[in-house]
Amino acid sequence: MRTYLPDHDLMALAGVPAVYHCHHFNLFLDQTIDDALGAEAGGAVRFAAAREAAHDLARAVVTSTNAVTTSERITAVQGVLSAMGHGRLQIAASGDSGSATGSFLHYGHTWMEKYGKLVRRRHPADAFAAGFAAGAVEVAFDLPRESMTATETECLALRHGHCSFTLAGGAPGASRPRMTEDTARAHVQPTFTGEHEDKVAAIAAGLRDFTAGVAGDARGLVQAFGVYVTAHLATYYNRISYDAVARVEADAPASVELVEDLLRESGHVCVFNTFGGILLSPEWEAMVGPLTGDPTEIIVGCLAIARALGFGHWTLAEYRRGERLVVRTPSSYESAYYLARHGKAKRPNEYFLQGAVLAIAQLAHRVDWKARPQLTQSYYQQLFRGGQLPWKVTEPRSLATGDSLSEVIADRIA
Amino acid sequence: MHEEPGEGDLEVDAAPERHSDGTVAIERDHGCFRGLSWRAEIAAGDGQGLRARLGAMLEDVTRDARLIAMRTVEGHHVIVVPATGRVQVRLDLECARERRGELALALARLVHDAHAAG
Amino acid sequence: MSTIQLSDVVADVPPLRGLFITAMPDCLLFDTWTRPDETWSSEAAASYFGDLVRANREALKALSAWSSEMSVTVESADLLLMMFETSADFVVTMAFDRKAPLGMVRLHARRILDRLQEVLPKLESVERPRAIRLAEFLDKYAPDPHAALHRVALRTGLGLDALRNPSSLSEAQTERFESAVKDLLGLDNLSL
Repeated sequence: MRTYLPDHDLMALAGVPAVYHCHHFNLFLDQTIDDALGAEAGGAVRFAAAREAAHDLARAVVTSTNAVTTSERITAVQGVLSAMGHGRLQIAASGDSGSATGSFLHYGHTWMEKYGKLVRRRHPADAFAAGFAAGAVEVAFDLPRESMTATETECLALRHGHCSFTLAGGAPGASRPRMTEDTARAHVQPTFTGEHEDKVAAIAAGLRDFTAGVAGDARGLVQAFGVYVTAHLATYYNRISYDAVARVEADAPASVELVEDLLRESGHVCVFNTFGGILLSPEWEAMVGPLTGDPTEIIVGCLAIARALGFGHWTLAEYRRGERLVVRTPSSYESAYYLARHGKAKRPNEYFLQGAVLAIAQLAHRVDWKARPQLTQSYYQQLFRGGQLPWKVTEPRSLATGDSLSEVIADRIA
Repeated sequence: MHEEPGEGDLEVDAAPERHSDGTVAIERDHGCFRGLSWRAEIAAGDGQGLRARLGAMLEDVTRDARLIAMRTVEGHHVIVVPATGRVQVRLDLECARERRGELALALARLVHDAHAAG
Repeated sequence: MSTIQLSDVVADVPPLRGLFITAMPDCLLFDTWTRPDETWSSEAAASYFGDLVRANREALKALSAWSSEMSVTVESADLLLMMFETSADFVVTMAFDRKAPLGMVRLHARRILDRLQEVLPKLESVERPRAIRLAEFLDKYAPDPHAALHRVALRTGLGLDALRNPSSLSEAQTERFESAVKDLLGLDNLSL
């Protein structure tokens, strides 16, 4: 079911654009959308994006598994959700109405794990699962795309014992072109290589072999490398990010920079924790060797991890130790979506890529790898709380704006 | 299931914790959630004999010879990087919380003894 | 910071590992004594102790069970903490070794409080602007504190520069700030 666009390293599940992301990214991104739009509108945007992407995945899954009856179809799609690390969802629907219950749903469960002791949440967390349930029912009953609604009435993150959803039919949403791996293929540029290419490519291939065997545990969760990992639908991330930015641009243009900063931060926190966790894992040690702490080793490793996780063909264009890191790519899951759905962007807007390259620079220079650090929340805050960071990031060229590549530069601040 | 949702624990065990029986020592490994992931060390080697000896006692689920992976009937995993001697014990989620350190130490001991027998 | 000699106050109390005096209502460290081998951050701890006692006071009031003799005891794996609101000005927190018998700890605590009553001054507190206290509260309790101000700025439309200088916020802006802080933390009321 999993494929990669050759030489461009964009991933798809059953032909639907997908990437691997951790709970740090997922939670921070959802939170940013709600910060930008408010909890109600943010939840609605997140639900709609999930429903759209889930419909396409569900359609592909039932086709590939030859699932004919509604129960076969729903069973197949529920299984895929758990295998992707999103927890367990039980859907009971009869056409245009129904319900669903969730256990260990990724967003609610991990929100409680990460924030439950710190904050009392006021709104349900599982818009993604709600959208997934709606999309699954649409496909199971051959209903129009984007026609089901789902409301989360109980949520783990609200300290209920499990998650519950009610499903109802509605008017079909506006027709949107489907996002597929062909869409992604149509929006990449001729590929190229960078420094240490052989090493990056070899590690990426090894990591892909390893991640091919990763699937949800008894809870439907993937707990690895110190994070909860999900195989996730790229359209979900892209639609919520770009729709939120567009709304902020329209309603509060002075706040655009803020939402962009926070979108970058979601990439930063993801790379720091997930890439860092992979680098510290026994799997990495077996495949690549124990970490020496050399920054180049960390950078090369991170570029390989990015490729294996389906982020794009990230290459090392330039590296000056302690001063500058330049990453280029002919493909990114963000620009492929943006170009397909919105056309050329007015400014570089691959926020995840920007935050990720900044995090790679920080991982390479600010972490004492030989000391085998625990990449905990307190360690993260210790490094990044207060004052200006010692590195800054820019994106002078972007596929999204029509350039032939995306170039992201992390510079040490003098 | 012991791994109850919604308890609000911080997701990674931050505090260092070690257990030892005098010969074998384990400590929480990176990314240890709730005492489920532990680290130990043995001498580096090629791992072939170790894999065979462990495989006689545990289910061999190794996918790549560079990383020996074994599973117990209870669902715990023992991972060994032969080239560096790193051992990681991954306990099953169902495992009782108060027994995790003790169980991990017993599994690390198993690896240690299998290695010493070579 | 005070000029009182806490080493005299804690003399002859072997199980005591630390003493923290928090000036209220701002929860700022007024004075501290810790054993030489302790590596605690007294500033941060004192601030949390103040919040803890204040929250406890409000909770007891809500239950109509508050009295000025209130104290808070916290037992952790290796510490026994005892907190006392000695006056409107101070919260006194004693950190004892967990292995010390509780009866002995109470005896020591009473003796220390008696000694402190003689040396602690009467403070003339100046109420600081609410926006400053909001900013401090947010910094202390927000999840992902490195991003908290960004989040508030995005939610409120208040600029980052303004939020970084909260004393400059108007009353209406402070209300928006407070509302966002409540939302971020999921609280109906802030105990400032």
